[in-house]
Amino acid sequence: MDLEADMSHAGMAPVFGEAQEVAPGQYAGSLDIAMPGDWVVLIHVTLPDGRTQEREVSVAGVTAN
Amino acid sequence: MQVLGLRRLFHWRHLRTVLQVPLLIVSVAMILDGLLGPSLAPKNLATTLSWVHFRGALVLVMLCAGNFFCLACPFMLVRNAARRFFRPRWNWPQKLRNKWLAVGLFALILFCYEEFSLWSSPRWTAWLIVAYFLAVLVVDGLFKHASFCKFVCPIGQFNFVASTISPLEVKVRDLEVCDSCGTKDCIRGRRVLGPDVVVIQRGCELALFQPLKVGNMDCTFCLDCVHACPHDNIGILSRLPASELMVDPRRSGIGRFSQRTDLAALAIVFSFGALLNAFGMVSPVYALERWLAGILHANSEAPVLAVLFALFLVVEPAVLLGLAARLTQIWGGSQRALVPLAVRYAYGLVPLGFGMWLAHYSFHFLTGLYTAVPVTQSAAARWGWSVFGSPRWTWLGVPMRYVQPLEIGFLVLGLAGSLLVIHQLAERDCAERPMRAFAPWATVAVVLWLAAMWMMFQPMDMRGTFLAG
Repeated sequence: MDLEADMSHAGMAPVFGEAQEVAPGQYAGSLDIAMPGDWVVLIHVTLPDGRTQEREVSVAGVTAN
Repeated sequence: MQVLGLRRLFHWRHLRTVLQVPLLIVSVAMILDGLLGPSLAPKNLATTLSWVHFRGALVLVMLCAGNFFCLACPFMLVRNAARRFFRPRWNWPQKLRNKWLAVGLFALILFCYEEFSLWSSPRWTAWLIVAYFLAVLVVDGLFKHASFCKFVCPIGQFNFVASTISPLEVKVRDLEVCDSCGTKDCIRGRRVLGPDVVVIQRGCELALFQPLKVGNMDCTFCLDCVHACPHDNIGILSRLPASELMVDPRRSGIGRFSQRTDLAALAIVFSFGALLNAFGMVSPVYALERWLAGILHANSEAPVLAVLFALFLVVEPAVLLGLAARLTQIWGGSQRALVPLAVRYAYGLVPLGFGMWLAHYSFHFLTGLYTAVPVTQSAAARWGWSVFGSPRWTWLGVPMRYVQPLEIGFLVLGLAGSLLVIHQLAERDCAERPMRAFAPWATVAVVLWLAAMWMMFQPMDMRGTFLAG
């Protein structure tokens, strides 16, 4: 399972990562989001039969630590 | 300076069309992808090309050359095609023959950019381009000449002001040739006399009579005058950038800068708008917006933004320029009233404003330079053309660590330009004690420059709305 995070603004650097299966049906991964703002996380899933699926999760208002 | 081959290129009558056609194709692709493509801005042609590449390329071309984006404007290609079928009947209304409408539209575009988060919305961006095409067709379909360019187009006004900093200008090679010219084709157009007078090459549609034209203000680089001149006496020539801001002659089609309050307002919105537009991208703006929202008891962003725009584009310039004008009266002994003084020196802030636009837009352009490649690959794949291969989303641009020194350089260049222009104006106004007239306006420029530098070192924060958190 591949992870990709994009900012809402075009031209900004996307962030890539991977999620690993930590329990049956549960995946965990991390993304190093470098800039505050609105982000969208794209989850690219490749199924065992080779088909691909994609899900979008909006992560608005990310602030600096 | 003459560059071999360029003279012939600029005289080629199809040059403009050749530049416009690719931009028209790109515009149509942007509209289609904006309306039908992915809703995520970094994946869409409309948002990526509009807000990353177009703006950045525009200011860099202005800096290095001139107003070539107006030359290649695709809206004019469509307008010219439409005018083969619909002849405009009216002249632009006398009361609107100024920049006030354009100043309002320019500020409105900046407002809409924030209010509708245009940078993150392919749909809104596409509709904006569509609206632009329709506005051009309606305005220039009804009114003669280049009414849209001269009195309406917000991008055009931005280009006119920015191109005062450019090193190139469309101008006369030898004024003595103009003195002996009897036809004045550069403004009237080249005509064939007969039972019906036929214009075979139009003259300047923006009412700029070449022998009396000074600088780039209102010049779209359309090259009509170059083609119309029967003496081959008009070309794209080099000059000292910003030199047109240091003098105040009567200019053809414009008049004196010092007597044009509307033009000064445009210069002010251009200069202060540069700071406001950049301020919208850094973290402190959200704290300020939340604080304002608390005071106004506002639940939406529009009233908060309206107050911010009024503060930055009206109150702040009025206070700073008003104070500087008053001090010029007291220290410099200027006999001018406050408003004429503010109008005269407002143009001195243009280089600094341009430096800010340049720093801001070139940042997005350079850091996202290569993103045009995967976005184009992705759009082509969606339309069934897989010739470009699979999108390379890791292609970004120049690393930020290289871009930031460049931004600082642009801001320093802008400040230096403003100080130079202000000093030249002060020397002309108060020949005996120019420093006394120079000091107040130089202080304003330095204050704005410090604000710009402070902004540049703030953490970037790009949210659609401050209500997000």
